[in-house]
Amino acid sequence: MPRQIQGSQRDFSFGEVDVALKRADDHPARKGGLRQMANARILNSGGLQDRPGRRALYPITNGGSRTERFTISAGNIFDIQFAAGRVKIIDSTGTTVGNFTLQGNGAALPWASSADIQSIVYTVFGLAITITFGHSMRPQVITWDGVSTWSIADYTELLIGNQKRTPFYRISPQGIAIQPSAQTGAGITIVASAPLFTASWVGARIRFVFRQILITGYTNSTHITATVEESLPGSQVLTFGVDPSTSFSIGDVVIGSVTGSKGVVTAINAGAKTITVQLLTTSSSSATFNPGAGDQTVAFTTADTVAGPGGGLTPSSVAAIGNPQSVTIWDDEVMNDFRGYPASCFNDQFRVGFCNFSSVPGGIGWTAINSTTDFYANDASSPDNAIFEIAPGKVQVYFVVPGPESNEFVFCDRRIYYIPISPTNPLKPGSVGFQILSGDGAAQVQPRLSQEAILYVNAGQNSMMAVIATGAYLRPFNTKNLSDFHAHLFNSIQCIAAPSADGSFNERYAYALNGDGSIAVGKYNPDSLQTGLPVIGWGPWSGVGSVSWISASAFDVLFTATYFGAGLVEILDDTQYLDCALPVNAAPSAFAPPGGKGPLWFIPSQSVALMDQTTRYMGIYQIDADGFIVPQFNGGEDLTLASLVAGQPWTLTVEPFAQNASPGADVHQRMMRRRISNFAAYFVHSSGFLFAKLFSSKQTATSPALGTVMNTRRIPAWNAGDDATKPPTLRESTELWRPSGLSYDPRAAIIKDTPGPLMISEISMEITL
Amino acid sequence: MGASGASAAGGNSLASIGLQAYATILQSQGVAAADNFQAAKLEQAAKYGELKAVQTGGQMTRSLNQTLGNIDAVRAAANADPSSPTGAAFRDNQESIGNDQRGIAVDSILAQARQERADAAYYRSAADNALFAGEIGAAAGIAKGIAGMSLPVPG
Repeated sequence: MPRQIQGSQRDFSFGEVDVALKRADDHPARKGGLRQMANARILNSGGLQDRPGRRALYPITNGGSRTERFTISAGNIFDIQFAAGRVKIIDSTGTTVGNFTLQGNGAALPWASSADIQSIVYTVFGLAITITFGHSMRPQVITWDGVSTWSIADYTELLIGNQKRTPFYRISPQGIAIQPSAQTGAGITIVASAPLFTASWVGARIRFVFRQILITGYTNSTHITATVEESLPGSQVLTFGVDPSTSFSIGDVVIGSVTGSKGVVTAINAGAKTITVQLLTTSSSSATFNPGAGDQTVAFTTADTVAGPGGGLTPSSVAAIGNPQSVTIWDDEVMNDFRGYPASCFNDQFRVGFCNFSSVPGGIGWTAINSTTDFYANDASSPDNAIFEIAPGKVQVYFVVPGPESNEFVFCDRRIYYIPISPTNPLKPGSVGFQILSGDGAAQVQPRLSQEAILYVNAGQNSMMAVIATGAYLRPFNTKNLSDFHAHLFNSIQCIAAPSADGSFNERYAYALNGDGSIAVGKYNPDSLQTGLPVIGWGPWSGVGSVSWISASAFDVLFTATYFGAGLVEILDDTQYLDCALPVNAAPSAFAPPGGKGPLWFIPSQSVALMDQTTRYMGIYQIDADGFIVPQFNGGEDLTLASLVAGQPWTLTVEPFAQNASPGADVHQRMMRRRISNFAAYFVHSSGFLFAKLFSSKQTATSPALGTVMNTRRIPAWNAGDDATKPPTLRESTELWRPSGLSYDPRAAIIKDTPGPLMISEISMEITL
Repeated sequence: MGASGASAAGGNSLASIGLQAYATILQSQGVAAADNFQAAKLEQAAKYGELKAVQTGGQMTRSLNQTLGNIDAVRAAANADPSSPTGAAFRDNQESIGNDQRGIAVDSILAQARQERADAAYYRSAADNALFAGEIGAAAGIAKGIAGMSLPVPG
């Protein structure tokens, strides 16, 4: 048995895994994972390199904390930015082109806290952005005129005649009947059979036997006044030659054999041999249907045999149509000031959709095709009409996301469903079905589509999940946990960002912003998502800035961040080695300094890292109170250089697990303190780094914290004889170091504490048993 | 001689006239019988038509009921709530379409039956008319025959 073993790691695809894996030698995540992988990005090759920097786009005013990019028409790309009580539209130069603090109805925009802002859901359809927030705000629609003007308005459902094209559903208790005092007119009285109404009902609509009534006044819990918007069906008394009580019961729905009239029996008089029916068919005695067949009577006539569940009789006489009866056949308007508004929206298949209703938690509504205000889902006469369905399982629907192959995915608090949609089963009234994808729910964090997967957060808000297209016929989709071995990287996840196109590199990453402001970035291999062990390399990204939101649009990844109290929007940029990177002498127009101020006017009296000539790190510089960089007169320093970039650095840390000895013939392996004899790094494009020995000895009350850097060896950017006024030679080589000390858990790391490129392709250890 | 000749000729003409009238009446009775037969056939067809209308209405109602049941079953299998606004509207729409189809089919059959009844009535009327026309024709033939006879003038 040898006294030492040599372990080399060339694949870092699993990223920073939980430390619990440190003794699980054979586990793929242990083999391909690292104990620490901070501020690195994994490459398709399995190697890793220093993470990209973030280029400053424009400063934030008014406290914006969430910025997202959208395309409103081909070639017209804008940012939408949310701040407390405010929403802005910003163009590509950072100029605010739309700035709204009021809703269309004049009330203030209600979001205030960062949690509020994170919960805003919006969707872009045509030249309009529909915004939903909470259950109290009527959805708002920000519209662009296609040239330069942005305006905001309430989302208002279409009116056709007096018919409001909005969905209705029986929200009120089922057993309560109501009786309007007349079929038509304003100021009619509606009487409820049990206490029901409150003053809040005023302004809402209800439908009595499928016809709309607007409530205009509140009298008491059983009486309201209203205006009939669509004339109501009346009632009829039918007289028979025999006692009808043996054929009909109260509540029976009866139908006329000739006229097709339909009614519900509301009263039976055995002595007078009559029944009273509330008509369900129409408001008048005749109406035209069956085009070409002429008028047909749709109230009952003596030609009818009146048939019900218990039998049929032919009336000897029928009375004229009277006022409506008290029946339970009525329903409520789903969204209004009283019932609340949807908190989530989406668009798909040329329809705008709403969900997360307070009054109907499982409700999902789709407007009519290309008619975003026609939301009358109680008319299925045409396939392009609006739709309103209820997800099963008594769930609260949080989000509906259009996904692969035209299907829609429904993320609920306790379930995840998908709605199969295809050209042969298009989205139309009656086509919607809910197939269960997962019995586990989702968190109220907006899922994001990424290639053929949809990334979402589990209900506990501490795991990244994905809906995967399996391609199987019977089970075309599945869900996968993407962070099984990275639990320590996630907490109270706030948002997900996933680019949908390649930028300056081919790797695809997903970004998750945690509740504590930390960021986890994962590189995933789409092919591996189909397998039982998805290969997802998550690692933490950190820096000086405090990030409040991450979003992605095509290949752009935007960060809404704060540096020293100054907010700004940054974009991920693989050519930058600093965060908040600002080309000092060629800054974007949005950073034009006020009169008398310097280029870094937005972070006065702070410090900044400077780089020039792309990769030459100049050091940390101070900024004076006016935003000017305080020169240090170092060799090669030229603060007027066009390539001068100021920004904030970060530290890359890569720590492999120490290779464990295999079980076998006893040489006390896996039982003794061990020493890393040699620690080697194979690197490419190196601008210098540190080897570091990390504390892992016996812990005492006064010992350093585990992982504290105990000693180091620097691999410099410039070797002796190099010209430090020029960019360092980006070296491709191997360096070796012999860390000191013994430990049951020996630890060593590679640290890059200076900005600049570094790619690591292999880390090797020679370690005692 | 002349008188006897005239007398003999007049006797032959009367018989001929009688036979012709009888033939006219028989012919009209034949036409009337054919019309009555046709009318009876059409009335029978109308009765069958009315029966068919009732049966078609009943069958289509059962079929509609099954269709609505299938809709409920399929939607239930797809976890779609039948009581959802669109679920109810979809069901109502299908019911309306079914009722329309049933109405069109039944009305069409009833219209055919009504036409057959009207045709039967026409044939019955035509039969009556044929009989009447036969009687009139016979009478006219007799009158014409008598008027055409050359009887001797008593002197």
